[in-house]
Amino acid sequence: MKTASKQITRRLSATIALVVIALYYAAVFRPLTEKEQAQIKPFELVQAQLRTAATNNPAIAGLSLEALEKVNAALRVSLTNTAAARDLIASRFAPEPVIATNLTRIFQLIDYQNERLSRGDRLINLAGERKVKITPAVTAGLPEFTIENPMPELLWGQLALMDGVLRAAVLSGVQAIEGVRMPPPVNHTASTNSPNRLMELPLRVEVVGTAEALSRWLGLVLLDPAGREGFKLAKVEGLPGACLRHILARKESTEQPGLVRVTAEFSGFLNLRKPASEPVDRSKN
Amino acid sequence: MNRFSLPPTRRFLAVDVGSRCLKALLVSNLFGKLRIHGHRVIGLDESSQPGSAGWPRVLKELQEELGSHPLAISVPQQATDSQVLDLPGADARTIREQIQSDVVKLSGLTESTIIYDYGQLEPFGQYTNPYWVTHARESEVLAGVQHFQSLAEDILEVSSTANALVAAYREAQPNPTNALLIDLGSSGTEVAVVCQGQGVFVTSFAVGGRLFSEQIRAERCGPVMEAEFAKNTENLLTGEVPMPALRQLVDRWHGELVRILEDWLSEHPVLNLSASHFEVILCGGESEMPGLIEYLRANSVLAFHRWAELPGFPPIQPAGQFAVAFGLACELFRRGGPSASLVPEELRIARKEHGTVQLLQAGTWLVLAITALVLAFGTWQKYYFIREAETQIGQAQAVLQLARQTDRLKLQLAADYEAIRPVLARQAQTIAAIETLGMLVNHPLPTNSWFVLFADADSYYTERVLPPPTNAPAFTNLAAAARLTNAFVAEFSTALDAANARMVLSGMIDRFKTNALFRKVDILSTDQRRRLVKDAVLVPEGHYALSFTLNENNFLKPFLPVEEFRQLTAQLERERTNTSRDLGPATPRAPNR
Repeated sequence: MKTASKQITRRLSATIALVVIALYYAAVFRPLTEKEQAQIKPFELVQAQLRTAATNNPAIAGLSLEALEKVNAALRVSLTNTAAARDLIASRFAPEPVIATNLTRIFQLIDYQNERLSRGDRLINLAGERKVKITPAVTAGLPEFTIENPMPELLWGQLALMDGVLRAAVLSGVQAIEGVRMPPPVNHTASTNSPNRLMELPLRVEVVGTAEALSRWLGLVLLDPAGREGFKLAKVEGLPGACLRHILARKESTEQPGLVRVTAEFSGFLNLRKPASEPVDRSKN
Repeated sequence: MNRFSLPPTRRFLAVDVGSRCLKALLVSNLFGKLRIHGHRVIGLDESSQPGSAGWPRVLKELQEELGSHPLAISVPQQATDSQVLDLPGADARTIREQIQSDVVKLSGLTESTIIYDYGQLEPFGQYTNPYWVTHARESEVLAGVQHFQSLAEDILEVSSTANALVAAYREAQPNPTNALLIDLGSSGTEVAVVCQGQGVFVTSFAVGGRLFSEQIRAERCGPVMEAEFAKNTENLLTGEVPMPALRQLVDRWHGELVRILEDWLSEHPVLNLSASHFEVILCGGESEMPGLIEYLRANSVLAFHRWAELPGFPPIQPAGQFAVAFGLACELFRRGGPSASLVPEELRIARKEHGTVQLLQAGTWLVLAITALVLAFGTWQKYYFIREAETQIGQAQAVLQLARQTDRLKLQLAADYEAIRPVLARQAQTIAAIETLGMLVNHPLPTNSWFVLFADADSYYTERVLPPPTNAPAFTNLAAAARLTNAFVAEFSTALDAANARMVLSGMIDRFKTNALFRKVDILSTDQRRRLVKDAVLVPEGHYALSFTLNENNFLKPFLPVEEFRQLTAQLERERTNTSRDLGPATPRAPNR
């Protein structure tokens, strides 16, 4: 009868269906289950990382993706602004090209001493021309090499700064330059692995002059070229940018009521490549 | 038999094999509703009778027309016997044995050669516990079954034609009426008496359409085919030229019917019925003979009707031709009435087993379907979870990466800022000093007043003091806490009296206070002052000092607090080393602390 063959067909189809389901289970469902299980670990890991990131960083704690993107964008803007400021500062405080070249070379004492003498002579001559009294201590105060100096190349920068500031004083018409001193440079290394170091070069100068002359002097030293031009101040070749760190201005005497004695401490800056072997400087500003 | 053991195909062939034609219905039963999907009449001649050489061709034609389906077939009434057995007070548990014993007695055959079936009837007449018992020789039923063996289909129901007629009538007329059902075939007539809606008597006698044809042939002395044709096309009973001999034969046939009915009525006087109480339903292939029904109506006490239609279905004409086949379908689906199935025992057992297997298979398929559904749902769920997890991991990693990037940017900014911060701090000091100095220089003073000193606080307190004049108190070194910080000092000398001098000072202080550069502008107390200006440039008793405390220089503070900076650096370094090789550039420079 046909029933038998139908029975066989039905049983066979049931068996085939069972096999198909078993194959499906083995080939699709189990791998899916394993994949699902495998997803749990990275999921938990990422969650833990997020938690850690949020715990250690108040800036991103509880923030959404959108807020983070805003913070991120703001940081990028700040970085751009910082880079622009860095460029401005670099151009403002850059030493004249000769000095910049010497700063990158191995220090040659002979070259330095020649330059020191040359600048000292030029300053004395200029003061003589402008009838500005310069005490011997001033010319003797030009930076001098000593064996203890760990960074003699900085002398070039110090010399340029002192020379420029003193010439500016002479050109401003002060009555006398009575003292000059260069405290030790301050190392503002920006970071442990930064390739550069920012050196602050303090310069302490004591001058006597009228308020007008002293104003011109401060303007010459502290303003940028555009500012000097705006105030119609004299041009001082090779004068690097400087900041005023300390000032003490006193009326000098009753005989000459217009005279003021000013003790000012300026700061020049040099951005130098840091030698690889240099130890980390922890000095604070 | 159990109707639930029917195969799930749900379509069946009900086949009524007559002597001149085979009538077949393709039926189905969907949720108790019987439906006819097709019908077919196949003529049978001498060479195509069951068991003859032409029979397979008939079956093939049937299969081609209506398809292959399980079967319900009829066996000739004369091969079976059905009767009422009254078993008053019989124990329900021994009914089967009693009936079996009675059947053996009645048939004179052994138990093993008989097929029988029975069903209980409603009490009627003198019967208080009647049973309708049908039995037949097993060999005759098997012979009928074997005629369909070549179809290779299951035979699910075997019934006598009379029982099938009763079943069809019950389906057509659910009300408990009385009827005489007559199937006029070619070789004989089958009769069933229906009392109060249930079949109570069946019989047959060998007068049928063939005898009518023979009579016509004898009268006309023509060939059989011609006589047959004349019987089916000419009205030889009530027409213009009636055939008296045929009328006599029909009268004899009618008389036999009346005798059967009256005999049965006489056996059941309690019913108090007469022949006129019976509706006479005429069906079968020969019932369509022209003039027959009209002749019978005109000459009989009985109320003859044709089988009008099969109930609840599209009209099939002539409906009476399919009455037996329809009854077989009703028997198959067991739609009321006592069971009268003549399915051989081994077929019953096989069918029962088959039903069990099918139930089992249905259960298996159900389990498989549920499993497949569960797997499908599980697969979808896992796909969904994996996709969701991947999305969330992706988002989380994006957030994490952005957070790390933010950290790196912060460190980068801190480092870059540290590189310029000392310059910015000095510039801020410079601007504050120049601006303060400028304001002092430009401040209008009375003609007898002048500034004698201007200094930043550090210079003011670190500069060597002048020796005190004779008889004057010496300036002592101030404690660090008493010193001003982040401030400027200006000393002022005037020839004005104290009151006016103070007015000048107040005006100066009020003016300087308006500048956002200063946090506080005030006079300097005597103990905070230092002797740095020569007496010669001062007016005695007219010497004052002012302090200009600046707002905090923001450039003196680093961008990141030291602790936060250390944590960020350590965290980024750790992540860079352990997990985020693919995060891009290395950790930014760490500012020196």
